[in-house]
Amino acid sequence: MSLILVALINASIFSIGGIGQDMSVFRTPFLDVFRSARIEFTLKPEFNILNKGSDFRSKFSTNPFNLNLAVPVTKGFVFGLGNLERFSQSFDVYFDRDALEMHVEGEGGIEEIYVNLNNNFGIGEIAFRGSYLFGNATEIWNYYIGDYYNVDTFLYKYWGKIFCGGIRLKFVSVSYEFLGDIEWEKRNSDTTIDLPSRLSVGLHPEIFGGKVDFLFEHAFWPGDNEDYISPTRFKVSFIKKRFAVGYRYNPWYLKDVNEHGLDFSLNIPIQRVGLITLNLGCSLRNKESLREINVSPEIKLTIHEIFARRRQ
Amino acid sequence: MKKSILLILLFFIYCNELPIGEDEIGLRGDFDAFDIELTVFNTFTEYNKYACLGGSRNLIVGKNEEYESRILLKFDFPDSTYQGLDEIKLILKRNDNFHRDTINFSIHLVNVDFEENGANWYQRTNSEWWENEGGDFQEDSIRAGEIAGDSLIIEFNYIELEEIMAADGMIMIPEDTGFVYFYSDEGGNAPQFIIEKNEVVSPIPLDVDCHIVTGTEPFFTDDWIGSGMPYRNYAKFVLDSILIDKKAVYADLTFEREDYFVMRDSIEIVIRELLEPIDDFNTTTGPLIALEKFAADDTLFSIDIAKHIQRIIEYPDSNFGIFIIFSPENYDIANLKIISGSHSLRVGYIAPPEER
Repeated sequence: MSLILVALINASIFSIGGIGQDMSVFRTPFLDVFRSARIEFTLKPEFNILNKGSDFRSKFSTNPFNLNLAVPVTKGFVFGLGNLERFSQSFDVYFDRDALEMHVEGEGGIEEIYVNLNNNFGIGEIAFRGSYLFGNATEIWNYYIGDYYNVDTFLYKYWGKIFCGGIRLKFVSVSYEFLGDIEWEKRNSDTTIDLPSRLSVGLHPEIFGGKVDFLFEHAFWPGDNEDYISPTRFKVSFIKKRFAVGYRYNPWYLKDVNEHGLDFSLNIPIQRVGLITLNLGCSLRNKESLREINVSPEIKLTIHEIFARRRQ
Repeated sequence: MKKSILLILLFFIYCNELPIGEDEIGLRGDFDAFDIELTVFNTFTEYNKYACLGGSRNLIVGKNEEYESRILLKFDFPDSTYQGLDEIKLILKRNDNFHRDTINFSIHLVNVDFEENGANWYQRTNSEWWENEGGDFQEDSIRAGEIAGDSLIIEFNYIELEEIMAADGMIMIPEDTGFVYFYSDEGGNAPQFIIEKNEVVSPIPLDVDCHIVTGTEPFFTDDWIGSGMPYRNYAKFVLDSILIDKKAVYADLTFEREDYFVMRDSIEIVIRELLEPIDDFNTTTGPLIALEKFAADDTLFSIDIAKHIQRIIEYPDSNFGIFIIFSPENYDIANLKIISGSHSLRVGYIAPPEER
């Protein structure tokens, strides 16, 4: 079953535009790991329901497992390694106008492998992350006119890089992502696009016996790109003991696409192993009268100190 | 539990194909369907009367007012004499995929050597010609008879065996109208020459089996498709400039039948694109553009050649036309005569999507 899930793909209809859905919003380089090693495996299936007027259509999908490894090395330094999907270009949409019908499927996107080097200096943390971006995407355009059928296939290949640095002092954090670019190989041309720089400012005060996380994020798309806007996003979460609840406002870099989301998390400790985090994310994306309701029950398995336990 | 199942069902119940969000596709282009009829530039027929049919899955003997076909056979006899044989016989198995005619035939010994992949009505090898068109053979037949059943079994005597061994092969000639299709070696049921002694059957290895065909030669302006005597119908259409930078979704090539001769229930027509200006029957063609199966008695033929149109949209200088061909051209003896001027080509197209 898990193999089937892994074979499926993430699918927001809005991924058809630009370079796809940005999967890395509200992501900072901080690791929150100082004394023990940690491995995380994350699976995030998605249920997307499209709605316009009285019409509904749903799509089930999932992204592959994400891996995150963080290992303290020496005197507050932590080394991290992991992967995630950076931009999803997966979508599935039907078109019907007069004699022409189309079914367009996209699959793939831009993946990221990253390396973190962080330092904890008591009252805060300095973080640096370097990422290699790569990936392939396929689009299959099926055309139907009457009894006739034809198909076009677009293949894209990507590779690039991006860096991120940040500092956290007590309950304030600032991080900045920069120098991102992607080489983009198309059917008839190659091009380079600059990824947006991204400034994130976080406030993490402790109130009501728990912790509140405010995160503001602004992406600076390069000025010569008229197709994309530079959105400002924010997220607020309240964490108490094993529970967390959050709201996020995520306007996309693609014009007129807005997203509001609610997240609910539950941490379940597993004795001598680590932690299972169950996160239920619900989002409403809309562009004019088109709505996409996204439900994504994320499962994250965190294993602590696996190396230390082996040595014992 | 029931509520969970209901919830899951609710998710999947809407896994439909409604065009919700089709406006998003508009980010990649403006999509509408259009169509246009292309003007015929010219059509005519190329043929190859020197076609070698050694690779055919059938061996055909027969004739009518348009064609005559003869079967050439040669077995590889060992250098020895035979004594005390119980039976000497030649067996050919009939291919039931074709209509059954009953015809008379005669078998003659061939005087000169010939090659399976070099023999045709005019040539016995790739470089040498028959002295008489249709094969050089002894005037007197070694055997004659009627072909009627599922297979043809011809028994020979010692004297005939000696003559067969001494000759360069045999030729089977039709004596009246009609056609009979036997399996060839390539068809999986090769002709057998069997020698039986004391209930021990010794097959003689087959060296050559093929048939040679002569047929009507069309006028240059006729539009014919044919196999056995292969006719290739050439057609070229003028590319309308409105199609430049467009995506051809379909290109419906149609033509109408005037007359036909086919001995099976269906035919397969393929389209091949010329890769250079038309010169003759052997002008270089590219891979298959389209393949369609039709009932033999169809009167209107329709084939989608969008691949060809898309190619000439992308490379307008490569519009060298197409060949309309029977497939395979060596399988049987058949023809389809097309009504001159009935070729038409309607192209449905859209503005192609932009890449991301």
